[in-house]
Amino acid sequence: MSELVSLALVFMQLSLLAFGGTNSVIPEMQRQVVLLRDVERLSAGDVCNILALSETNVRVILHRGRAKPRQALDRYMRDGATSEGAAPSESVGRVAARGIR
Amino acid sequence: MNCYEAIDLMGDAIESRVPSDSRAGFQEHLDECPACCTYFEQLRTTVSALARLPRRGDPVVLTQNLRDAYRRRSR
Repeated sequence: MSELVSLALVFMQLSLLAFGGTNSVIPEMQRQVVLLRDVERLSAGDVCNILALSETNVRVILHRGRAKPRQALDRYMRDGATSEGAAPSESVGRVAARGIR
Repeated sequence: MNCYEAIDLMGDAIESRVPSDSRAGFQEHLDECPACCTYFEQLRTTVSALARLPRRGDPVVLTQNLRDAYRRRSR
């Protein structure tokens, strides 16, 4: 598992670089929320105050912001390594892509 | 619990904050749905990797700077 985390770490760094700039793969607000919540590890309440968003908004934006790197990790595990367990089905992917209600 | 409801709770589950009345149903769904189980594991790995990235600065200073910027913007 630690090897997997290391691989994911390298990948995330590349992804985060890709998140910025004009060819951003995720919108700026999602990038900000992911950075503040997951990288800087600020509380949900602090992120709400800083970005002037409701808790529900932060929850939805965070969910969507995490989806892209997770998808990339899924692709990497299926194409680049032997994966254990089931790959998320198309229907789960569709459910997740719509975001939380 | 269905896949929609389980995915709704995954962010909370990563932080061990699933409401107590949903915990059993969430776990039961993961046990029964291999696709959601894999999805959840990947999400957890993603968040765990993000948490290991270098922070941009002292969280206290960073938070203060962001709060100051926020206050200036809302004036």
